[in-house]
Amino acid sequence: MSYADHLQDTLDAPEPADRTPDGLPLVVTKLFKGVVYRDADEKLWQRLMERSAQARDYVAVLGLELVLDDAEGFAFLRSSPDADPELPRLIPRRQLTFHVSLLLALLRARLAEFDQQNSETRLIMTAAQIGDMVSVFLPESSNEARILDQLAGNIKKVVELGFLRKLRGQEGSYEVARILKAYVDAQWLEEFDARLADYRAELEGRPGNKGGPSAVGHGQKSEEAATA
Amino acid sequence: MDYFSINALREGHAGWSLLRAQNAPLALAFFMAAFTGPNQRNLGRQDLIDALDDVLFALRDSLGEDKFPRSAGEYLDDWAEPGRAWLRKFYTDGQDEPVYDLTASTADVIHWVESLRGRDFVPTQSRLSSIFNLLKTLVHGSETDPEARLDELQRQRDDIDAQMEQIRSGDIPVMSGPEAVDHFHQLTTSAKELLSDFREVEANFRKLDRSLREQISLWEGGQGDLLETIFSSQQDISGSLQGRTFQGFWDYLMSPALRTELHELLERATRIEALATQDGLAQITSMQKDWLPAVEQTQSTVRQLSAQIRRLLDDKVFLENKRIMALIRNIESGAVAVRGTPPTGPFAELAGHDVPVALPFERPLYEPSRSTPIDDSVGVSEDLGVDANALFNQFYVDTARLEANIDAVLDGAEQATLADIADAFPLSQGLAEIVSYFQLATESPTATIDPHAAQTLSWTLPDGSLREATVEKVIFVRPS
Repeated sequence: MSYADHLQDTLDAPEPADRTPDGLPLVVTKLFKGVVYRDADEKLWQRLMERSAQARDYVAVLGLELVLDDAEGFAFLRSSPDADPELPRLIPRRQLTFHVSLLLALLRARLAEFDQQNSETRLIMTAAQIGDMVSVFLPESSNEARILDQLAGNIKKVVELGFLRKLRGQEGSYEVARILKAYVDAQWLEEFDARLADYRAELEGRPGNKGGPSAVGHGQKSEEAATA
Repeated sequence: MDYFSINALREGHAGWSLLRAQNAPLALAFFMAAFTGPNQRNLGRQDLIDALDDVLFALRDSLGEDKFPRSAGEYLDDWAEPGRAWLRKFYTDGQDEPVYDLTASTADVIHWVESLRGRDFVPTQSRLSSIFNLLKTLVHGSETDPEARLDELQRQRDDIDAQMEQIRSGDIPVMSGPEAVDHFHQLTTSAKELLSDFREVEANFRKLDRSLREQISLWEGGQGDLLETIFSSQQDISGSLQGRTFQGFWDYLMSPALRTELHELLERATRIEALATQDGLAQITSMQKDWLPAVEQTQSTVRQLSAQIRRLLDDKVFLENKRIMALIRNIESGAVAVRGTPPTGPFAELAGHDVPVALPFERPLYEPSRSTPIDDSVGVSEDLGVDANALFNQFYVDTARLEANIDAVLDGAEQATLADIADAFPLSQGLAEIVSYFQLATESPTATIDPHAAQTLSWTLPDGSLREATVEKVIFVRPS
């Protein structure tokens, strides 16, 4: 750009904000606020598709990565695996109890099955169906009410996490959010599996597994998976 | 068909089970009233419940309250159960309410039951002529010998020449009244059948889709081999026989020349004198309009099915799904083993979806409350003959109306005081109305109340006397 051009530009656009590409601020701030779904806002999605490269570059500066799934129609930010470990984490990690984690894994399995058998895109489950799915894994207890409360609590937690969505006007029906696929992936499940195996070993009092869910077992599992 | 295949149909076919069902008359009457009668598809749950309630109400009225004990919603749920499959229940994008449509077998049953009533008129002559036309298209269209093709065209030309000669000589053969009616009935029946065929076409596509999915999920080998088998055997949806004839139909219907021709023909058909007394003559012009959404829907079903299959076959998804199912099976057995003593405390973690940004300025700052002086001294009237009923005749100030007033005034000005608004829309409910304006002003982000300036508002009572109120100045500003 020549000096004259630059001067002209400056005169035309005195505010520096005008030099960021059109629509990028909106796209990035919306992504900061949470998952962007195509269904929820077609216009925003269109902008995101046009500006995805810039958005990617922009968030990379903050150690974030843009995950964009055009087929499924969702986009979100996550901590970039290549980011400098010195960088403080911008996206919080949420701690899950065993039963919530298990519920997520089971919902993920249900979604995979659903996709294999069904041509619909929306998996809708009632609270009763979710209960049936989980009940095998709950401790046998004479106090049914307590178990039901616990289940309701776990469902609520998953709703908060954004992986189940209450249907409007339909009591006790939930849609399993397809974004679950992006979070509960093979790697996450591997870690889950490894941790559970460690816990079982600990329960049975096998030696060499002191110290609870250690990173050792988990590391071995990952290596196996990598070589497989 | 042999005994066993018919018996299998009797046991397993959704249509036959509908005919055998105890409440078949109810279900069929309702399906006709809601779907086939008004020619509607994909109805929302609430609409259907309303329609069924109407049917149930009429039936209970004549048969007694205890005849159909369940609620409309329960019947609907029952009929959409996978075991019955008389209705297809599904969720469309962006809507939380489930949508229902008849299944193809239910549509067949309705068609059959309707035909039982008997027709007072069966078009036979026109059927014969359409059979002739079909036969000609079939035979001549499949002819590969050029000589034979040319001969046939020559014969047609001679035929046309002869007809033209006949007309020139003054002898114009016109279709007789009964003949025209016969053809008209054939036309409307075929058009209706075509419309209901689309449902079956869609069902066929779904069947293809299901068998594909089965094949994909049971596939043991590599993904490349799977793709090869699917595409080489033309089992994919658009390559199937159904897919290709449907595509042909679509191309035919979408051809602009044909559409114009069809439209003109339909227009002219409505003007045929011999048909003037026929029912439904005017409706045939909308035939095309009825087809388009139906074809459109089938088309989008095919698109959707293909997209999903593609997604399922996607490299990463294909491998990951297998891995995930294996892992989850492992986790399940592990979880059953520790069922009695599940791990306590945090077990796993998952990243959130958002970057929490706390904005300090979003929080409201401390704001000292302002005391509003209220003059509550009441001048007691001497007159005890006042009708106390007036106290109990409470009235309601419609804030929506006041908002509309403000908007109307702001339409022509950047800002307006309450006095301006009262000038344009005279106060009719006195103090209560002013209070409501104040309430709107405090709630509105663009309005301000200036405690240092005062304004006098006036209104007229029904008895003609004038009242005034002096209040703080309110300024409404047009939102930018």
